[in-house]
Amino acid sequence: MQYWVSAATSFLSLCVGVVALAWGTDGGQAWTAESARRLAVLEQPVVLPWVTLLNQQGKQQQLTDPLASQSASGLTLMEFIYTRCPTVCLAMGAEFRSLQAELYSGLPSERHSELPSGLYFRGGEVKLLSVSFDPEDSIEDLKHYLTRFSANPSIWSAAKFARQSDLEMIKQQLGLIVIPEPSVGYIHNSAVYVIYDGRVVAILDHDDRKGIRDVISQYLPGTAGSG
Amino acid sequence: MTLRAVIIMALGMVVAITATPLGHWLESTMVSHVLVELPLLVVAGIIFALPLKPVSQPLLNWVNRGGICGLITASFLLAFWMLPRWLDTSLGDPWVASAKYGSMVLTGMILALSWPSAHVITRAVVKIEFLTMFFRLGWLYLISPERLCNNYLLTDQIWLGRGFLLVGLALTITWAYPILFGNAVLEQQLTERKLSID
Repeated sequence: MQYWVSAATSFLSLCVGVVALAWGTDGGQAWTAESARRLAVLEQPVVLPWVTLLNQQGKQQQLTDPLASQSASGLTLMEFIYTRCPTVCLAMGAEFRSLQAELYSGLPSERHSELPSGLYFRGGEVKLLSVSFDPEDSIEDLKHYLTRFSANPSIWSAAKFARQSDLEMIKQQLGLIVIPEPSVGYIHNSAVYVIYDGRVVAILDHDDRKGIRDVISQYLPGTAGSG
Repeated sequence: MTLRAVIIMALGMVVAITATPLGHWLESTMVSHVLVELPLLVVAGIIFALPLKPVSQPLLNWVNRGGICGLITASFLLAFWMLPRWLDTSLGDPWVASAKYGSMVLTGMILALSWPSAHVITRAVVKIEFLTMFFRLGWLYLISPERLCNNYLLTDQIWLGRGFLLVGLALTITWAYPILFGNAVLEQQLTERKLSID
């Protein structure tokens, strides 16, 4: 009898252990906190709170409505940066510049239909937004940041938080983690946040161009022209 | 030193880790978090189990014969907290942090209540699993090109990888030594086991 009981408890603990590990990794899909938050956003988009930003012109704008775009169904690609960043933000900025070129091809929106190939959008439905989490960044710094990457101000804006407490709230809600690092400034989990209808619907690697394209065509079907 | 004094010290250590800045300090680098803080909590658990052993033995013979159930549970508890995701989450979420502290102390208690009754073969399996865990994780942290924890730097991760390999090496030497050079020791252990089984 003793053998049976111990065999049963051992089997039970094995089953519970396997279930716990499966639960803890979302069935083997998310081994890191970063992949877990990306998966969570895909399953349940995060509604962005009413947060006021100051843009590169010193004007107030809402996080959910960058560039005060007239089209309510627009899509925003947002990333968190700090302008002194010597490493990953440079790569992110360069990536946004290249994305800007791909999305709009440097043509005014009324001429997008003439483009022979590539991904483009009519009426500026896709906006780019770089948000600084560094309290030391000034409006002037944001302006320089955009200039450095030849940002088209009608497409790509940079902003900082009007209130520092809002940054803490956003960090909490989106799982943004910023660690001060003496030699470079900060280390942060860099990513592109896709915002649609006031909600973060996807979080992607900043250089995951295919993923970004896919999300855009998923949320703005028919606006993408290709080939 | 009396058992009571040792237990009070272990209790003090747990309180210091979970409720004072010491824990925060240990968690500021990945190496001290994984290779100092967590093992200290396991050791505390082992100490807490000392007075429980005689009391719980009849029950353990019933549900934890040969320590198998306990060792399986302890391995899963350790494996769970070795997932980068939960180690990372425990740094920002007090509930997850409490679960981690509790799990580590529990792991220690379970190990202490299971190991003495484990067969020598069971022990060997657990030891090998332990060694491979250290080498696997060390290798993973050394080669991973990206950060596995958002709260730690890449260099931190590499240091932890080296730490894992070092601990794995030390354990290998400790456990392999009697096998390679101490036949007498092994034989004696085997004899003891034979005698203690009925």
